[in-house]
Amino acid sequence: MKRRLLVANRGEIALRIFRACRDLDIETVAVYSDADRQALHVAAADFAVRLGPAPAAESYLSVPAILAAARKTGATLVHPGYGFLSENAAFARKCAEAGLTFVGPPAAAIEAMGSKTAARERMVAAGVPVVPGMRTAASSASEIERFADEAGYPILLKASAGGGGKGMRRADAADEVRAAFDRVASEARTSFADGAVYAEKLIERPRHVEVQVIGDSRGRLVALGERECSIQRRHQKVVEECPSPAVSEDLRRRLSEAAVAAARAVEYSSCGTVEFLLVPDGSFYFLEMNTRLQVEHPVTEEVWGVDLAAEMIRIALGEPLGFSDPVPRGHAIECRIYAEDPRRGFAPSPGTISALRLPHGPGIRHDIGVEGGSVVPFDYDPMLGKLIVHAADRASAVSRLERALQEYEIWGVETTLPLFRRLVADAEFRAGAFDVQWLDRRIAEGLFDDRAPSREEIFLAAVGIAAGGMDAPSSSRDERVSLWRRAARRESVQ
Amino acid sequence: MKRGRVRLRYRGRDAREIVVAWTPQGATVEDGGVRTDVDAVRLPDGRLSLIFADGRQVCGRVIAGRSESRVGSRGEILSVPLADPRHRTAHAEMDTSDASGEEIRALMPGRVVEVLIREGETVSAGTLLLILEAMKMQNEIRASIAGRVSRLEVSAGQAVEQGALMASVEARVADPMI
Repeated sequence: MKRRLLVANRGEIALRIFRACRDLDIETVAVYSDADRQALHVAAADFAVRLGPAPAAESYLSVPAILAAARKTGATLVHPGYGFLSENAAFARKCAEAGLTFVGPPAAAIEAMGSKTAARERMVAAGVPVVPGMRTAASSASEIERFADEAGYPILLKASAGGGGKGMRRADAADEVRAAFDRVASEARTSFADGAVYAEKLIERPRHVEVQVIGDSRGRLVALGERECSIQRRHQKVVEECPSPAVSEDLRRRLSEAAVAAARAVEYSSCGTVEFLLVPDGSFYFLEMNTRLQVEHPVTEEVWGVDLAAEMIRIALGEPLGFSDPVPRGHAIECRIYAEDPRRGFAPSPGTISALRLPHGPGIRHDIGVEGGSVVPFDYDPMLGKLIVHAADRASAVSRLERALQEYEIWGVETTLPLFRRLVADAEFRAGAFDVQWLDRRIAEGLFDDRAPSREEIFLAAVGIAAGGMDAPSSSRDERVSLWRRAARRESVQ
Repeated sequence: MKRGRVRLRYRGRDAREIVVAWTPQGATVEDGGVRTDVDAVRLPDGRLSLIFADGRQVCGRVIAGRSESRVGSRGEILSVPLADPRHRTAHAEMDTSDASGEEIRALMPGRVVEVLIREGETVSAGTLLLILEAMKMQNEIRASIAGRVSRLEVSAGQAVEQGALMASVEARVADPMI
C-alpha cells in the first residue's frame, strides 16, 4: 500500500505539500472545517476528513480531530504546514504517541526555540551573536553607563517587568542615561509595581535577513543561503527575496555558520529558518528560529534548485538529503497576496473571487490556494497565495515582477496587488535600499495616489458602460457575449 | 448618425459629455467634439478589447457604477469618473441578479442597521434598500434592478451571516437594457 500523508492545514500550503507528495508517489489526506468544504485543497486530495466548525480552535487547531482523521484514513505521516500547529511541540509529541511520523523537527527542538529567553541563553552558549544586553537589572544609572560604554550607543532602557511598549526609553549618549533611568524606573514602579531596569543595545533600522537550514536525521545539516525579508508591514512580511541585496559572499558565509551553529545547538533536523537582524556595518544578531517550513520558502527553492517540501518528507522518512552541493542561481522575489485593502488601512476583504487572471511565462510561479469563484472566508489568515518570480539577477527579477503584476487580475475582493505595483516602481525598492521600518514609513507617506486613467482607458470605460457595463462576471459567458451582441444589434438598427 | 447614441457624463477636472454610438465594427466615441472610431469586442472572459485607428489596443474589464466606473487595465483597477446618468446601477458586488430578479445577500457577516423598504413595495434600480454594518463600515445596499420587493427576510438590528438572503427583488417585465 502507498504511504499516506495528512496535511494539518489549508490553503496554498496544503496544496504545496500535496504536490510534493504526488512527486514522491505518496497519497494525500486533506482536513477541513465547515468553511472549507469547497476549498481547493480538499478537492485536490485523495482523502478528506471534516474536522469541525469554522473557528480554528474547533478545526485546524483541534489535535484530537486531526489525530482521528489520520486514524480514519490510514495516514502515517502528518505535515503541519505553517501557522496553526506547526510550532506546537505538544502536537509533535502527540503524533509520535499515536504512531504517526511528524514531518518536521524533533519536538525537543521546537520546544527549545519556542521559549525566547531560553533560546537566547542557548544561542549565547553556542557562540551565536545576540543583541547585546544586560543579563540582570541595573542597580544604578552608572551601571547602565558602564554597559553602554562597552556595547555602544544608542541603547534602550527597559523595565524588567514591562511589555507592550511601556516603560522604554532610548539614550543616545552618556549624559542622557541618568534621566532615562529615573524616568523608566519611576514608570516601572507605577505601572508594574517593580522598579527594576535593564538596558540593551538599540538596533536602529536593521534589515531582517534569515537563513534557511535543512538537516537530515543522519547528522548532515547545511545552510541554503539567506532570504531578505525587510519589506514588512507592522512586523508582517510582505515581500521576500533570495538572495539579500545587502549580503556579500563573506557575510553569507558568516550568517550561514551562525545559523548552522544555532540549529546544531538544539539538535535540529528537517527544514528550519534562523532569523537575524542585520546592521549596515555587517554585524548581525540572532532574532529567533522558526522550526517549520516558512511561507517564503519558494524563493530559496527557485534559487537553490531544492524542493524543500519534498526534502522535509524524505527527511521524516529517514532518508538522507537529496542533494550534494547545490549552487545558487539568479534571484527570486515573492509577493504575498492578501485579501486586504491597502487603500483602507489593509482591512481584511473577505468575499467571493469573481474573476482571477494569473500571469504566466518564463520565471513565474504561483503558490496559490484559490481560483475564480473561490470564497475567501473571514475565519482565517487572508493570504490568497504567493507570486514568485525568478530571473538571472535582481534587476531582471524586479522587471519580471513588474511585468507579471501587469497581467495579474483579481476581482471581487480587494488585494495587496496595488501595493506591489507601487513597490516595483519605487526607486529605493529597486535599489534594494530598505530596512524593516521602510515600508511602514512609505505607506505613511501615502503610497496610494491613484494614477489618472489614460485617454484609451477612458474610452474603454465609455464603451464598457454604453454596452451595459456589467458586474464582475457572475453569469455564464454565453449570456455575456449575447448581451454585448444584443446591445450592438439594437443600437445599430434604431 | 444620430442613432444608437449613449450619452455619458465625465465628472473629472474637465467635466464633459462623452457620447458612444454603435457601429457594425464597434463604436464611435465622441469626446470634446472629436470623433474616434474604435473596433470593440467583448472577450470570452468578459473583458473588452478596443483597437484604435493607429492600431493601439487596450483591454480591460469595466464595472459601471452610479457616479463613476472601475476599469481594470494592465493589472491595475482604476476609478474613472464616468457614468451613464440614465442608469442607476447598484453597488456591483452586493447582489446576484439576472433577468427575472435579484437576491440581496450579505457579502460579509454583519448587522442590519436600517431597513428602508417594505415587502411588496415597488423599487427602481438604485433604490436604497437597507444599510448593513460589516467590518465597522456601514454599507448602503441598493437595488440594481427595477421591480417589486418579493421577500424581506431581515429587520433592523438583526445579525446576518455571510451569504444570508436579506431581500429579493422581482424584476418588472421589461428589458433592462432599453
